[in-house]
Amino acid sequence: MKVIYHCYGRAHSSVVAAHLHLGSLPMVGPVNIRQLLGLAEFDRADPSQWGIPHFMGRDEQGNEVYILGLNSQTAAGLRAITSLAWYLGKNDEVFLCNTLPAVGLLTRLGGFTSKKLGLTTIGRPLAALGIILSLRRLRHLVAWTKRNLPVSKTEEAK
Amino acid sequence: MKIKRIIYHWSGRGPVAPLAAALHLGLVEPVPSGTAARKITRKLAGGIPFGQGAGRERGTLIFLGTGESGEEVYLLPRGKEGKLLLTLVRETARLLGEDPETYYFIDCELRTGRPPRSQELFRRVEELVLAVKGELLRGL
Repeated sequence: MKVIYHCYGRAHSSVVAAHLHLGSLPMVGPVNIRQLLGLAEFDRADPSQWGIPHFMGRDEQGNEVYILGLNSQTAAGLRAITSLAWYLGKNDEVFLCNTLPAVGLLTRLGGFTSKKLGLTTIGRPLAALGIILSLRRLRHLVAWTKRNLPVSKTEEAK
Repeated sequence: MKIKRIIYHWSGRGPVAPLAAALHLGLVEPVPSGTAARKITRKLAGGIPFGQGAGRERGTLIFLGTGESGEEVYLLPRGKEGKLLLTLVRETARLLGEDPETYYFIDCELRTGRPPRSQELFRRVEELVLAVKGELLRGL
C-alpha cells in the first residue's frame, strides 16, 4: 500500500504527518519547535515539486509513505490520482490522506510568510509553532489512517 | 509491447479535445478532401462524448476507447492551469509502476490555437489528430 499524505505545498502538515506515521516523531508526548525545524523536509519544498509524490519511508507494516503538494487543486488532483489508479486496476494500492484540515491559521500564515513572502526566518518558526498547536489533530489523523489501512498480504501471511 | 496512452487535454470548456479524441477513434467522420470545411454545430458537439465541455470533471482522466494501433485514448479536462495535473498524472503513473514515457499529453488548445471560425477549428483539430497519428506511427 502507498500512503500519500497531501496538503497545499508538502512543506508542513504532510511532512509532520508522514514523520508521525513513520515514528520519527512521537505519537505521544511533547514535540518542540527545534525537532520540527530539524526535519529535512520541513518548510523546504518549492512549487516545482508540487504534483510529485515524495517518498518518505516504509512503516512497520511495509506500507510506503509519501508526501504530496497539490497547491489549490486538491479536488482535481485527487480525481486525477483515483481515476488513473482505477484504470490501471491499482486503486486498492493507494491510500490518500488530506492533512490540510488538521492545521490551523498559524501554520498557514507561517507557510505563507516563509514560502510566498520569502521571509523564512519569521515564517518557518511560526509554521512550526502552528504545527505544535495542531499536533493533537495531526496525531488523530495519522492514528486513524494507520487503523484504516488494509492489512497487507505479507502481514496477513504472518 | 507497452500500451501507449494518448491523453488529449484541454481547459474543459468547449469541444476541442473531445472532438480530437472522437476523430482519433473514428467516432466522427473526417471531412473528405476537396469538400468544404465542416462546421462544429451544437448537434455535432452534442453527439460526441463530453463534446459540450467537461468543466465539472476537472482532473478526471476519461477513457474513451482504443485506437487502431492499440493505443488508449483519454480525455483530461485540466482547467486553465494544468501543469500540476499533468505532472501529477505522469508521476502517479510512475508511482504505480507504469512507464511515464508511454503517456503522451496533447494540449489541444495550444496546438489548435484560437481559430476565428468554427470551420477553421474543425480543420485544425483534424490536422492535429493526423499529426498525432503520424507521430504515433513513428513511435512518437
